[in-house]
Amino acid sequence: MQTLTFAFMDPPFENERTVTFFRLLDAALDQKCNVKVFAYEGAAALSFALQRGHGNSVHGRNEKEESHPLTKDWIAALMTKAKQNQLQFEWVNCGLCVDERGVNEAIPGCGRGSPADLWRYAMASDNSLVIGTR
Amino acid sequence: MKLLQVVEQAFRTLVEEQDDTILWLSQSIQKAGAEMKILLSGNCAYYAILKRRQPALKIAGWSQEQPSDIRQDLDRLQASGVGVYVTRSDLADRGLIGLPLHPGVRIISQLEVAELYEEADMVWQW
Amino acid sequence: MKNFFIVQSQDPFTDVRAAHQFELARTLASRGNKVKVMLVQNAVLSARLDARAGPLFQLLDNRISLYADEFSLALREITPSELLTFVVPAGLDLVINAMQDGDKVIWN
Repeated sequence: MQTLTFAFMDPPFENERTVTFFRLLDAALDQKCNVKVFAYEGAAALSFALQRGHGNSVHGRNEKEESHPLTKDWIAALMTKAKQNQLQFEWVNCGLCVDERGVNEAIPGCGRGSPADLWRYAMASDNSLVIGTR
Repeated sequence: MKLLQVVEQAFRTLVEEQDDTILWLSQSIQKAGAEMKILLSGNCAYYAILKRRQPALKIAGWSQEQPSDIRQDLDRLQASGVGVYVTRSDLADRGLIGLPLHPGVRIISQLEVAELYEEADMVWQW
Repeated sequence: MKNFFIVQSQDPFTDVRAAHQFELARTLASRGNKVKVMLVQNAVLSARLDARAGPLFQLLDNRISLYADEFSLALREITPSELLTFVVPAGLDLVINAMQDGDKVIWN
């Protein structure tokens, strides 16, 4: 079983890169890979536990109907999928990035670390992909 | 494992983060044992010719105390054995050919860029 | 010979840098490396038949395999028959397979 490391930088909601990134993580699990993620800069907010959906008067939908995507739910779903398939899924947020953005409450299972963890992950993996921001 | 760090998003974080966050991360992982080279790509070619510490930002009475200093970042990286490169074409496109380069930064050709990509075990393009 | 897999999200209509990136892909291929490029997000727009995506034609090289992400195409309602013939629709599993195979995988 192989292990792949990903580093990502974008926050939720600002860029299509975020969607492609999560699709890659899902594809990695589909290919039976263990996954390690280092969330840097804006990506530290992807796992923020206090993300909330909302209704949308322009769409004419209430909060439940709108069913707004939240990246914290995607992370939780990936963790569940990994567990169901006996795969590892590790997520660490850059701690300084968390602090300056005030997103200290992450969903369970997401850790706090530093770039040294990115290097440690990469050295413990078969390959790595870094997705920078623009 | 040889790493090539390609840094391209120039000036994006220099004010708010008081450094270039990829040069900062590079210093961090270098201390963790990474063997790397750095390619200052695209607009980051400007980092190779900066002569001063960044000016301090002032907003409504708030004044920055610790503006970034790219020259120090490049010095620290090079002192740790990290090679720093910039391409002739990126300098030329931006009218920077002939300006004094930060000590130790090497100008390379596009063919030499391809060599850097080939010889690295990992290419992290930020 | 090294294997490179480039995930290309920057498109030549918006990002001037895309042309440089395609040039590097071509240089790597000309030096005997195996190069695959997968267009994702708005980069797939340049693969549409009749698009004026001149820089993309740098990748028209039999040493380079060119793919377009199926989901990105579906979002933009580009069907396979509307793509340039040398571009193959594919899923992101191609990226994961490249990582598993030890390719140097690079995001543009």
